[in-house]
Amino acid sequence: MTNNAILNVEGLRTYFHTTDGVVNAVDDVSFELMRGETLGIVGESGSGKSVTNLSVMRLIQSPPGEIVGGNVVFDGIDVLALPIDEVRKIRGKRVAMIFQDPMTSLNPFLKISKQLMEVTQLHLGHTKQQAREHAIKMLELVGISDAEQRIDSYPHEFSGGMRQRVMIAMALSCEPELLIADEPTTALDVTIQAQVLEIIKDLKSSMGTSVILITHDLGVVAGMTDRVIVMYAGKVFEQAPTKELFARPANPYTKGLLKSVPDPAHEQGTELYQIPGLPPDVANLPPGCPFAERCERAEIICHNEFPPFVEINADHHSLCHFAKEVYGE
Amino acid sequence: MESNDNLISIQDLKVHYRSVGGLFGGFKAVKAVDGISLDIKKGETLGLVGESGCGKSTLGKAILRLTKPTGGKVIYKGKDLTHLPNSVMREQRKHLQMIFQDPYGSLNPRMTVGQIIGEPMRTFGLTNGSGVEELMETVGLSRRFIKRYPLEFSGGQRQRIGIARALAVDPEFIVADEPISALDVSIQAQIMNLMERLQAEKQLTYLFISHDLRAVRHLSDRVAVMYLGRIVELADAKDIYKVPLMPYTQALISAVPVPDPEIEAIRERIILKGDVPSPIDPPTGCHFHTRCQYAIQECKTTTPQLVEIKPRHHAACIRISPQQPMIAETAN
Repeated sequence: MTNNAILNVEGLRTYFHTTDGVVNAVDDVSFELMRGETLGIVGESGSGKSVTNLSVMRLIQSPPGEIVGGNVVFDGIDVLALPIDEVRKIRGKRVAMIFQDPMTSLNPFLKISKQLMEVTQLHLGHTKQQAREHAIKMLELVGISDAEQRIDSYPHEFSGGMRQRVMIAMALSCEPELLIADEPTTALDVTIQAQVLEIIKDLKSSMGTSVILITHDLGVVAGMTDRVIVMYAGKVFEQAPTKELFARPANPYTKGLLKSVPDPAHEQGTELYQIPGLPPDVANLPPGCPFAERCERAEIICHNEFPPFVEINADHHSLCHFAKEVYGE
Repeated sequence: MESNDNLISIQDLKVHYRSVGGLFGGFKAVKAVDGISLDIKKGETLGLVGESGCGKSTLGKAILRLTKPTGGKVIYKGKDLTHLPNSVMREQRKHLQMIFQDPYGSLNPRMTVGQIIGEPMRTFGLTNGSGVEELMETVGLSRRFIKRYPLEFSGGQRQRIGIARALAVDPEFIVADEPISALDVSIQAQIMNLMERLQAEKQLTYLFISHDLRAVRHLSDRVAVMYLGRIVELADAKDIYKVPLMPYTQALISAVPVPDPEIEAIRERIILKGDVPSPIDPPTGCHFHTRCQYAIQECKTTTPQLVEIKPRHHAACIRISPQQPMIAETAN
């Protein structure tokens, strides 16, 4: 681990014990996040992208979930070994999270003011007066006009986009070093999505926050991130700088995903590339590559042997028996 | 006005709801669909885009009379659907079908796939249900699944069941309301390709309702943009994406992230201020004036009409005209 990394995840495994057997939701996931960097995590539902980040913050409900192995080091602190009280001091202060649905993180019975003030009173030791002033400042920062009046509203009095902004204000009110945003704009309309992404970009450049952005939208990844991790069936399938990943993917799954997004420059009527089949049942993975069944270039070895994590160059890795060939195509 | 290649002609269609509003409990009208006129041509895909709450789903349902219109006409084969007696309308339903957004909520969990797909056929006395297996193969579901229940399928497979059910009565026109929004990226491509293949095979006409502008671009021949109950722009898909005329459409298209980091790095985005206003009390004049960077005093008072600015390209904005299709920058 270099000194420049704020977060280092190594060999993380999170399993869920279900009636269908053990689900390896996150299976040997490793990555680094540099200070000031934005890392995108892309994947379809069930790929383990959210569980990875919930594990990093020790937010896995146990049972049924269990972090069975690996290391998570945040700024030199071994998070998985920490007593839960200590983890709580980090959460919300040094590491903040925002989710797809703001109503899961806002209490519908409490005024916005109360919920925003609570954070800084707890973590920064603000007095009531200081906390209120700070909360108003934060709301203005995320573009809520008349913050002074509206701060005493209840969450239901705000629209979806406004609630998402309140949640961002709350997440950023202690100037966290790391922001984990899990599908922060998925439930929003495009014009509101553009506003929210712009706010995250601005705050990132003014506060120097490191960001993990979890999304299924490759357009959002292209515009927001420096590096990308592609997840599939609980595993990291590819990892590369954003520009390189889009220009020269080294994994057939990534390649398929990129091709299956309609390109606005393309004329209507051309058939869209489609990845055949369905995402695998993570509780019953085949012995070989979990993508082999849907992969166009799969050979016998792909069905029988788990693929290696091939180094294309120092920054670019791909989980594929034929990574170098795919990269070269 | 009605030309021969129109399958459906919508004329001044209105859906107004009454909502309890105001401090003293008075009634206010929510104009979900506020006087829309639109022709849907035989064999085309008309994309209908807009943000949540703009009334696009209500329009789709009102065309099929799944929501009762409060005014205007929907002409299908010379008949006004809005005023047909229920029994006659019922008979028309086999030509007019709908695919829903939520593949989880729109299928009866207690019926098998075979029953779900076979039901419309039985209702209309079309067959004894022997076509069900064939239909399943058409939409890419194995015949083996015929006795299974919806719960046993993934989201994409359920959407295929919904499509098979819509096709069961051999319709001419299908309203597809956000059919891919709830699906994963790799599955979205599968469903879009399926819809295109079926359209070619069965000469279907689609109204494709979506907030996903990339998907609409891919599937549609023409695109209509809706804002607070009104159509604000209507043009061929390639034109509207290349040169959007109405400021709202410009912002909407500019807001779509492009899956290419090189383009994203240099692109200037139009960021709109604020949210979509409430449809209960929409702004006067042009509904968009509160968020429009080009709005002038007149925009607050004049309701813009949908005008053909360029050939086959209509927009509702008083600041543009056929003579001057681009808004001239003026200090205001």
